[in-house]
Amino acid sequence: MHKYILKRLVMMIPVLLGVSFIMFTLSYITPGDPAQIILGEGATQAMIDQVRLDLGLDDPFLVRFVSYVAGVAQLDFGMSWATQRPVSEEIFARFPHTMRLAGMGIALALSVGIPLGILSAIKQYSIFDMGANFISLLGVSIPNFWLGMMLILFFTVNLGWLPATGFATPIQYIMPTIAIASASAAVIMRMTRSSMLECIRQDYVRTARAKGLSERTVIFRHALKNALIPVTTTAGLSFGFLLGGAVLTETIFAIPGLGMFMVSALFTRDWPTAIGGVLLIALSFSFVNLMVDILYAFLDPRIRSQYQ
Amino acid sequence: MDNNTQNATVPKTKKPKKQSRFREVWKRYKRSPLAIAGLFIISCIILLALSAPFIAPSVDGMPGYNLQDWGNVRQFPSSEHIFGTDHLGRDVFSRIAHGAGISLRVGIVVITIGITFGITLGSIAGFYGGYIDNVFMRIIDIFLAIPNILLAIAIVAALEPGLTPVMIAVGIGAIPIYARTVRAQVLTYREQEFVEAARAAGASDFRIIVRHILPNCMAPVIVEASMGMAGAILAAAGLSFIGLGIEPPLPEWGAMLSEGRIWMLAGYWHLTVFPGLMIALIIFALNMIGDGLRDALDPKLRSGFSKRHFERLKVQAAQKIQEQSQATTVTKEGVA
Repeated sequence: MHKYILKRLVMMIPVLLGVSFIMFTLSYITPGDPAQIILGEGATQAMIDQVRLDLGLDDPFLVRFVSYVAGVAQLDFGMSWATQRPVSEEIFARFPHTMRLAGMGIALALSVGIPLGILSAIKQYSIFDMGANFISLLGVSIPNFWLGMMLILFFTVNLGWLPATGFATPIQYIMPTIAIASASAAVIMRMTRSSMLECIRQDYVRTARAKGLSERTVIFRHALKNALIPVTTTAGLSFGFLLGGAVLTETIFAIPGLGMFMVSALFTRDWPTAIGGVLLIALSFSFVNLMVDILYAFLDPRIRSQYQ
Repeated sequence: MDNNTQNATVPKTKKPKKQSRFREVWKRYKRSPLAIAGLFIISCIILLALSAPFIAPSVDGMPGYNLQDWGNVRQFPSSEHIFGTDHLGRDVFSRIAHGAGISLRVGIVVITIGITFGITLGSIAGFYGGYIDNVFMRIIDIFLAIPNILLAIAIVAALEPGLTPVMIAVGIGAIPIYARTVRAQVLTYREQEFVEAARAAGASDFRIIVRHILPNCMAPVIVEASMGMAGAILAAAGLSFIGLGIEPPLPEWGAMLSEGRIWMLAGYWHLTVFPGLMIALIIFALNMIGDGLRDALDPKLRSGFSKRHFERLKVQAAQKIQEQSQATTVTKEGVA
C-alpha cells in the first residue's frame, strides 16, 4: 500500500510538468512584451532591456522553462508581473478561500446527493423518484453562475435576508455553497441512484434478505457499502469540477479566492500568477484523486488485496 | 436533427436498409417523452434563431440586436417589450433571438473541433496501441488535471478575447473526452474477426479504421456529442460571463448576463432572468436528447433512468417463466 501511494505520488510529477509546460507554452505564444507589462506605460527602451535581461526573457524557450521548473521545485513561482510580489505569497494567501468554497460545495453535494440517490433507488419509479430525477436533470442543466445570480436576486434583492458578497461568516457561506454545489449534487445523486439500483439486484442482497435481515440492514450494510464505491470516483471528479467552477462563483459573490485572482491575472496577462494558480489547482485536484483511489482500497477489500 | 427525424417518417425510398436502421432508432427514441420534449425545445430554439432577422430586422444598417432607444432604458417586461429593455434601451427579446444563433453556432463549432481531433487521436491511439497509446494517455492525463474552464481561460488569454478564440479554447478542452471515448471503443473492436477479415483481404490500416472500425464506434460518440454540446454552450457562456468571449454589441447570452449583472442589485431582474433561462433551457434540452439517444442507439449503454428497461426485464422474466412452464407441460404431455 505504501509502495502504491509512493508510486502514485511520483506519477504526479510528469503530470504537473506537463501542466506547467502547457501553461508556459501558452504564456510564450501570447503577444505582448512581458517587460512592457511589468513596467507599464512610459517605460524607456533602456528600462525594458534591463528588465528583459534580469528576467532572462531573451533566453531560448527551453532554458526559461527549465529555470522556471527548477524554481517551482523550491516553491518559488516567480514574481508577479502585475504586483512585483512573489507569486507563491499571493496564491497561497487566496487558496484557502477557494478550497473552503470547493470543500463546502462537495460536502453539500454529497450530503444532498447520496441520501436522495438512495431514496430514489429504493423507491424506484415512485413519484418521489421521478421528482428527484427531474430535479437532478434541472441541477445539471442550470449554469451555476446563473443560479448564483438568481439566489442573489431572490434572497438579497427581494427578501433582503442574505448578503450578496463575501465569504467570511456562516451566513455568507449559504448562497455560494448552494450555487457551486447544485450541479455536483445532481451528478452524485444520479450516480448513487444507478449504482444503488445495480447493487440492489445483486445476489448477495437477495441472500441478505432471505436470511431475514431487516430492510434497513440490507440497504445500509450490504447494498450501500458497495454502491458507494463508484460514487467516490464521481465525488473526486466533481471536486475538480468545483475547483474550476469556483472561478465563476467567486466572481459572482466577490469572494477573494484563487479563481477570481487568476482570472484577473489572465486579463492583465500576468502569466507567472496564472501559471502558479493553475499548477496549484492541478496539484490539489491530482491529490484529491489520489486520496479517492486510496479510499477505494479502504472501501473495497478486493482492491486492497491487489495492492498487497 | 429535427429534419432528420422528420425524414424518418417520410416513406422509405432508395435505401431501405439505412432507413430501417434509422427508423429503429427513432422508434426507440420517441418512446421517451423527455427525449421528445428535448427535441421540441431545440427545434423551437433553432426556429427562434432562424426567425431572428424577422423578429428584429436591422434598421439603417444597424443590426436588429443593437437598436438602441435611449428614451426607453431598463424598461420592465410589458406588452411592447415582452422581456423588457436593457441599459441601452435595446429590446431584450430581440437580443435573445439573435443570441440563439450564436449559442447554436458555438455548440456546433466546439463539438466539430472536439470530434474531429478526438476521433483522429483516439482511433490512432486505440488501433496502434503500445508506445503511441501510452504517450497519448499521459497527455490526456495532463489535460484532465487542469479544470476545463481554467484551460479555456488560459487559451483565450493567450489568443485574444473574443467569440472565435472562446470556441477554439472550449473545443480544445473537449478533445480529451472524445478521444478517450473513441479509444475505448476502438480497443474493443480492434481484435474482432471482421477487422482480421478486412486485414486478410488486404485493406490498409486507414481503410480498416475508417470503413470497418469507426462506424461501429459512433453510437457513444453521438451521445457524447449531444451532451458535449450542452457542456460547450455552458462553458462558452461562462467565459463570456467573465468577459472573455464578449464582442459588444453581440448578444451572446452569457455576455448579456454579465451586462445585466450590474443592474441586478438595483432590482432590474429581467436583464439576468431571461438570458440565463435560455441557457438553462438549451442545456436541459440537449441533455434530454443525449439521454434519449443513449437509450435509443445502444440499449447496453442505457442509463438507470428509464422505466422501459425495468418493464422489459419484467416482460422477459414473464416470457421465460411462460416458456419454462410450457416446456414442462410439453415434457409432461410427452411422458403421459
